[in-house]
Amino acid sequence: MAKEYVGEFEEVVLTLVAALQDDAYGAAIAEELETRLKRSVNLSAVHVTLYRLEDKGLIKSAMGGATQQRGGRRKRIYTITSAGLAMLKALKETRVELWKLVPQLKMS
Amino acid sequence: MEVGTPVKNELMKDLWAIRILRWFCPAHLLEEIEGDLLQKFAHDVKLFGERKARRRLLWNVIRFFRPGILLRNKLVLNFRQMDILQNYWKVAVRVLTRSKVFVAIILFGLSVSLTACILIADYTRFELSYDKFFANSKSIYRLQHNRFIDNQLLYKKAMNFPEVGIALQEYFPEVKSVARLFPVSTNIEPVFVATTSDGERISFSEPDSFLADNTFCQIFDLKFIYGDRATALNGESKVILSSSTAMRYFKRLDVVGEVLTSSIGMGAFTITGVFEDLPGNSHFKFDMLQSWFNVYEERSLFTWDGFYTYVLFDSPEDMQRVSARLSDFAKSYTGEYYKTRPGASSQFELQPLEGIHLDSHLEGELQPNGNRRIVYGLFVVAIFIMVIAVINYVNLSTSRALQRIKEMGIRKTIGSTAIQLSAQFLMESMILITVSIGMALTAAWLLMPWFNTSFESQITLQLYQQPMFWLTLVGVALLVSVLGGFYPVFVLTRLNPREALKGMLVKHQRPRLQTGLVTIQFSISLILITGTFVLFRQIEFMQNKDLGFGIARKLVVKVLPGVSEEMDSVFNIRLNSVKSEVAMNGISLQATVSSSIPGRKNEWRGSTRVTGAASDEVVRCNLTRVDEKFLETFDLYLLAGRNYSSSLGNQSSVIVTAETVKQLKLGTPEEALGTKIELFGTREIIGVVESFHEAGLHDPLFPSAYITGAGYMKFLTLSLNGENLPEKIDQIKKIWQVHFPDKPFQYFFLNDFFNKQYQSDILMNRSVSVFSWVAIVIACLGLFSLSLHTIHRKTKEIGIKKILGAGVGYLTRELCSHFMTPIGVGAIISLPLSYYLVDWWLAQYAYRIDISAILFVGPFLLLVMIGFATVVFQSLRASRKNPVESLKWE
Repeated sequence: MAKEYVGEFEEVVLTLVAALQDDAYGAAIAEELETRLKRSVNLSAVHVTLYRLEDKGLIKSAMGGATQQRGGRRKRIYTITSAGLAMLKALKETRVELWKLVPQLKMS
Repeated sequence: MEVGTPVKNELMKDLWAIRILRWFCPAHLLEEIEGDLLQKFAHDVKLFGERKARRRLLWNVIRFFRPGILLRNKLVLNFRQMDILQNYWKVAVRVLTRSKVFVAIILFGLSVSLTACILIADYTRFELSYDKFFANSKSIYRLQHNRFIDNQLLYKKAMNFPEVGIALQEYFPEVKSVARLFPVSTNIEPVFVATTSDGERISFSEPDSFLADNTFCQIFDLKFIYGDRATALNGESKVILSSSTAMRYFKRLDVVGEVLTSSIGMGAFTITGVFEDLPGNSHFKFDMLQSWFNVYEERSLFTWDGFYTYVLFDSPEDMQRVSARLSDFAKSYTGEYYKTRPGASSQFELQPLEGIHLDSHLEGELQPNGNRRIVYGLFVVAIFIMVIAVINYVNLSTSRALQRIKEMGIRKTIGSTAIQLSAQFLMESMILITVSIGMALTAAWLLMPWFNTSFESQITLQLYQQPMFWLTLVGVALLVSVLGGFYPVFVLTRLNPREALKGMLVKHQRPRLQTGLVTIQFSISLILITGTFVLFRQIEFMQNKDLGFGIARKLVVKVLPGVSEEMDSVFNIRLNSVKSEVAMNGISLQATVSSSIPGRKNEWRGSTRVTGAASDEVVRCNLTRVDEKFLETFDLYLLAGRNYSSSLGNQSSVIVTAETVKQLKLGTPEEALGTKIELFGTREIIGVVESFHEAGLHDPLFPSAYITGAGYMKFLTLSLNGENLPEKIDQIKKIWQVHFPDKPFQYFFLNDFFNKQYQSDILMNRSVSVFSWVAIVIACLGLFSLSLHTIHRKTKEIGIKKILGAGVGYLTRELCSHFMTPIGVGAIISLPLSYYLVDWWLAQYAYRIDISAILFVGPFLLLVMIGFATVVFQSLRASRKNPVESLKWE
C-alpha cells in the first residue's frame, strides 16, 4: 500500500475510524475532530474523505442502526480494513524512523 | 458524544434544506448524510436555537454541493458508457483508416454533392428573396396594364398610363400610397456632368436613371447614407444617387448639395441624398432617381403606357377589395377614351412585388426576370446529385458491412445487443457524414466566387447564418447515417452468430438492392446528360442559325442625343461628318444611324393597318427610324421595291418586312408595293425586306417597319473591314471626340450584344452541365467501388475458373456483363422521362432543334462508355491474375 498516498486529513480520519470502532460514522468523527483536535471541520469534508478512503480500500462500511435524533435515518458505520491498519502502522513507523534522524535537542 | 433531549420529530419534518440535498445527492449516500446532518441540526437547535440551527443546516447542505459528492452521482455508470463509446470510436477509426479507397470515395461523393446542394440552395434562396428586403415588400403591388383590341388581348405590360395611379388613389380610399417610376433612358440616354472640387469636369451616361414621384422613397425604404429619405425628392430638379454613382462622379459619399448638370439639356439637378447601392436581389436596377417633372402631354394619358406604377396598401384585405373592383375602376377611368374606339379596352392587374422577379414576364420589364422553372429545375438537379451520392454511400457501406460478418459474429457471441451493434455502424456513419459536411461547408465557401462568376449570380452564402439551414444539415446527417447504416444493421443484427462466424450467409445472396440502386443512379445520370446535350445543341443551333442580317464586325456607338438636339441641324451635320470621315479614312465600309438596332429589344412599337380597311386589321409592329444606309450596313435583303434614296423627305414612304406584309394580308411582296398603310400618317410601302430574326430565336418573327426622319437617333453602326480592330476603334474615338467633345465615346460589338440575349440559356446549360458531370463522376465512383468489391469477393471463383481453363477474354466479358445490366436497364427507364423533359424544355423556343434519336442515343453511348471504362480495367486485372495468388486469397 506504500504507493498509495494518504494525506494528513485522511490519516487523521483513518485513525479516528480505527479508534472509534463501532461508533465510527460521519457525524461522530466530525465531533471527535472538533472536541479532541480543536479543529473546526465541515461535515461534508469528513464525508468526502471517508468515501475516498473507502475507494482506496483502507476502510469498509456497512449500514448500522437508526436513532430518534437522526430522524430515523440509519448510520453508515465504517471499520478499518487490514490494508488500512497496515497503512497506519507503516505511516507511524516511517514517522518514528524519521524522528530518529532528528538530533535530540533539549527543549527549552 | 453528548446528545441532549431528542428534538421533536415534527421539527425534523419538512426541512427544505434537506430537500435541496436530495436533489443533488447520490441516492446510495443520501440516508447517512441526511442522518448526520439531522443529528448535527438537533445538536445545533439545543445550542443556538431553532432559527440559527436552520441556517447552519442550510449552510452544511450547501457545503455538500462539492465535486467529491456530486461526481458520485451515477457517474460510475456513465464512465462505463463512455468506455463503450470510446471502443466504438476506436473500432470505427480503425475500420475507416484500413479501407482508404472506400473512405475516399464516400467522402468525395458526399462532400461534392453536399457542396453542390449548398451552392444551389443558396442560389435558390437568393432567387426567392427578390425585393423582400424592402420593409413593405408584402404590401407593395405593381399595376399591370392589359390592353385589348377587338376584344382580344393585344399585350400585357409592366408599365402603365402616366396618371392611372393618381386616379386609382382617388377612386379607392384603401390605396395608401402610389409612386411612379419613369425610365428616362428609353427615349434619351441622359448624360450628366459634375464639376469636382478641383474644377475637373466628369461626365457619364446614365442608362439606369429614372424619374420618381416623391412618394417613391416612402414606399420603398432605400437606405439613405446622406440626406433625408422622406423629403429627398420633394420639389423640382432634385436627384438622389446610389453610393457607387456618387463615388463615380465625386470620389466621396457626402455629396448632398452638389450639382449634376445634364449635358443633353435637361437642366441642373441638386443632389439631395445618397443611398446604399441596391442589393442584387431586386427587380429594380437604378443608379439615380430624379424628382418628377412632366414628360407627358394630355394626349398621352391613355395612349402612352410607359410608366411603372407601384401601389402601397395597408393590409392584404384592402388589396383584395381593390383587386376585386379593378375592372370597375378601369371602366370608369378609361371609359370616356374608349367610347369612340369600339372593341378596345384596358384592364389593370395588381402584381405582388415579391413575385415580380420569378413570375412576371410582361412586356416592358425593368430587367430580364428570372424563371421559376429554372430555379426549381436546378434544385431538382441538386436533389438528384444528393440521391446519387447517398445511393453510393448506402451501396458501399452495405457491401463493406457484409465483409464484416465475422466481426459481428464475435461481437454477438461476446454478448453485444442488437442496439450496440447498430451503434457501431451508426458511429462510423456519423464520422463519415460529419467530416463530409465539414468539407462541403468549406468547399462551398471557397467555390462561391467561382460560382458567382460562372453563373452570374450574387450569392453570399447567407444560408450559413440561418438556424434552419443548420437544422436541415443535422437532419440530412441523421437521415444519411441511418440510411447508410440501415441495411447492415438490419441484416447483421438478425444474424445467427454461429453462421456469422462461419462467414457464410451473404455469399449465396445476390445483391439485388445494390443492383437496383445502381440502376437508379444511372437513369438519373442519363437524364442529366441528355438534358445537357439537348441544351448544348439548342444553343449551338441558335448561335449558328442564319439570322437574316449581318452581326459580325459591326461596331455600335451610342450617339446619346440630348432632348431636342436631334432636331438641331448642327447635331446632324456633326453626325454626318463623323460618318463620312470614318468612311473616308477607310475604317468603315458602311455607316448608318438608327433609333434601334437588330438584336435590341425595341421599345418603340406602334399599331398599323391598311388605309381604309376596317379597324380589325390592326397589326402591331416594331418601329425603327433609319437612314438610307441601314439596309446595306446590316446586309438586309430587299425582296421587292427600293431602298430610301436619302434620309430626307420620305414622310409618306415606309419599308416593311415580309412578316408585316404577311400579317397585313397583302399577298406577295411585289403585290404589297404601293399599298398605303396608316403609320404616323398615311405611308406608301416602297420596299419589302426579307424578315430577319431581329429579336433572337426565342421569339417568333415580329412585324417591323422602317421609316426615316429626325428623332431618337441613338445608334451609329459602323461595319468594319479588315483586321486590327483596337487601332480602328481608337481612330473612331478620335474622330468622335473632335465632333462631340462633350459626349462620352461608348461602343459595343453587335455580335456580343446580340448573343447576350442567349445568356440565360448559356448559363442554364453551363450549370446543368457542371452539375451533370458532378453526378456522373459520383455515379461512376459508385460503380467503380462496387465492382472493386464484387471482384474482390470473386477472387477465388476467378482463380478456379482459370484453372479449369477459362481465358482472360471470357472472364473479363463475364465480369463486365455483370455491371452492364444496371446501365442498360437504367437507360430504358430514363428514356421516356428524358423525352418528356426535353420536349417540355424545347417548347419555350420559337425556333428549336428537332427531337431526334441522336439526342438520346448519344448520351446513352457516352454513359455506356464511361461505365465500361470504369469496370473493364478492374475486370481485366482480376482475370489476368495468377490463379495461384487468387486461390491463396481469403
